[in-house]
Amino acid sequence: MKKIFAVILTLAMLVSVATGCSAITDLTQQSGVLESVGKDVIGDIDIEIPTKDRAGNDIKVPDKIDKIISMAPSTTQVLIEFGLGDKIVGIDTNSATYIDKLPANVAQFDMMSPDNEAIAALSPDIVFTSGMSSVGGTSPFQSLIDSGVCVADIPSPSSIEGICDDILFIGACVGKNAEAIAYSKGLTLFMSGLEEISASIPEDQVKTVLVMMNVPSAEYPTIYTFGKGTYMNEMLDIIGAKNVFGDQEGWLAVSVEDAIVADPDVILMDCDWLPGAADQVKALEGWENVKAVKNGEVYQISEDLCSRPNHHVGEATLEWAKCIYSKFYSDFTGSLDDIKTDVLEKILG
Amino acid sequence: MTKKGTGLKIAISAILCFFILILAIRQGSVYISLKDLFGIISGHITGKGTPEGIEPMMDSIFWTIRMPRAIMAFLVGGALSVSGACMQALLQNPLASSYTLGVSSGASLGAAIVLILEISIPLLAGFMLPFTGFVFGLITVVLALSLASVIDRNVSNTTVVLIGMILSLFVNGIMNFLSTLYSDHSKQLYLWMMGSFSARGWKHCLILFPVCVVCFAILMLTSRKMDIMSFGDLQAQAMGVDAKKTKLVAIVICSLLTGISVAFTGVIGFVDLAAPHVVRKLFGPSHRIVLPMSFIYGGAFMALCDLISRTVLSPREIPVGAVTALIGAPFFAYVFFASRRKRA
Repeated sequence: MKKIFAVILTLAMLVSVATGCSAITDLTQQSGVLESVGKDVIGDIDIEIPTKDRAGNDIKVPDKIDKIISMAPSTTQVLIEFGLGDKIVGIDTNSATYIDKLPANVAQFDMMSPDNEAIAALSPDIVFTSGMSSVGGTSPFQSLIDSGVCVADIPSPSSIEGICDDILFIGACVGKNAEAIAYSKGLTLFMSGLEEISASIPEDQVKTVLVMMNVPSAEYPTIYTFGKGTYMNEMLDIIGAKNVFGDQEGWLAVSVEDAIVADPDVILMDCDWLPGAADQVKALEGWENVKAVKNGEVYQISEDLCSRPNHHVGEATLEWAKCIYSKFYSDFTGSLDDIKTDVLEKILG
Repeated sequence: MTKKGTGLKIAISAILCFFILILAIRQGSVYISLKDLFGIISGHITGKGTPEGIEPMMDSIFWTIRMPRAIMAFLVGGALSVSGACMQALLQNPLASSYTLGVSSGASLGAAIVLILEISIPLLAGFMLPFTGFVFGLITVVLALSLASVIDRNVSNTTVVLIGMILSLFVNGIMNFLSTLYSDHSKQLYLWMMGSFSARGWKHCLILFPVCVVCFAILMLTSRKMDIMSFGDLQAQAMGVDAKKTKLVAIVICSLLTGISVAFTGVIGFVDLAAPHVVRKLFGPSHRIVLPMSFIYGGAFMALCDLISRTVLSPREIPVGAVTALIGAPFFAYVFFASRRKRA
């Protein structure tokens, strides 16, 4: 355990140093420190196997994990990148995006009303569930839990820190601590690199942003967006932009009128399912005087990157930054992948 | 009740209704002075454009977003309560409503099919959902009426109401079955069914308005027959009214009104039930007055409910169907029970 603390302490130090000056260059300079603790640590990186899941429920994770079921795309993605794709025996239907990286006979389940019998029949060692499944506090997996299967719930994270903790939790459950530390610390370092640039944005050039998850129409009359207390709001904070609904709390459905009145400088369209959403917004009646529409600052962003709460939100944040402040972020060359690999190498020695 | 008293009440109601409509247009996330509001409205009507000194943003908000919405709410509320008033008279049932014959379940099924299959006909661009909802709503009613005429040659009220209820439940069953099978769309369907006036523009008003005018005119022409029919089919027949024909025609017209409202805004309850009863209490049973007053009261009530739905939790919106039920149900219960106690 001591060694683990050493690694974490060093990394924490790294982060604090990194936020002070340039995160990316300093990482390499600090690598010596890492190496000194890293070399032979990997075999011992046995952060204790969690006894509580992220929702605070008691769980008993088996020592050996051979069969995993993941009921959220964000978790599926992390597991695949941990190199555990071949151990996944079941997924939720939304995770089917990654089907080509999974065993051919992987079972698919509905996230909202999973077939608990069929899941139990696969005799999984662990089932990862997400906040998207629980409705009003009742888990649709209750009968599975009662049958003694280890169900590890990961409620939807509300902050970047929460995302990092979730990755560490998944890593601890499946015995991939080194990777988990690398991913979560990689994300933290990457974000502090972005924050460094945002600090240089002059007060009078700060832009207000509205992120919309649909184009309002008679069929979808309200606009889905978010306020504070969400990791997406934190993404905007990090890059130095101001969420127009930042005074509200949580995920929101706002009226068209309120969105127009908010008069954002930039509109980001977070809806891959609707091709040409940005152009549709520009053509909306009554929006022609909104600054973002007037100045043509309506952009389509990748929903896959930002809507799955795992380390890839780092890439999403950079994408948002380049849309909102192309002037400030166009030279940014930091790569989440590089930092991640770097950190992992340092840990593994 | 003297004629003079009724005239005064009508005048007060009309003024009140106008006041509510202005309030509904004016209140919202941004404030506007009455002078600016009338400036914007007259600027658009006369074609002169927005008067100077008014921000273009204000113009978009009031003319493009809020006015059509408020007027839409008014028209839908009016249409629903007029058709509710007629149905109550035609079926001699105080609990009959625009939805009794399954318009809403039919329309919901149509909407569900469109949402699930993601069908779109380019010609109908943006009107696919209302169009299908409308067609399915009418089909359900026609089906209910034909079934009723087959089973019961006189098309008695009990038969019509029963068949309507059975068919509604059946169609609802199909819809629930579909929405379970395709749960991806259930949230969207649920939102549609709760009803909303958000994002409704002038193009919607321009379709609804003529339909309302024509249907209302036809119903007004049958108002005298409706008065007679409220005494029962037999009496009506004795007085020379072809009860069956009048009933069928009027029901189809009512369903048209309800169908088009539901199609544009979703299923909004209670206004069709509550408004006519309140009007009857105030103005007596004559349909010559009940129908236009139902329109005014229903419209004003709906405009008010929409105002509440978008302002109370702003920037969030409460589905207007929830607001009408929350306010309408207790109010309706009060009116109903208060009159009972008086009678006792």
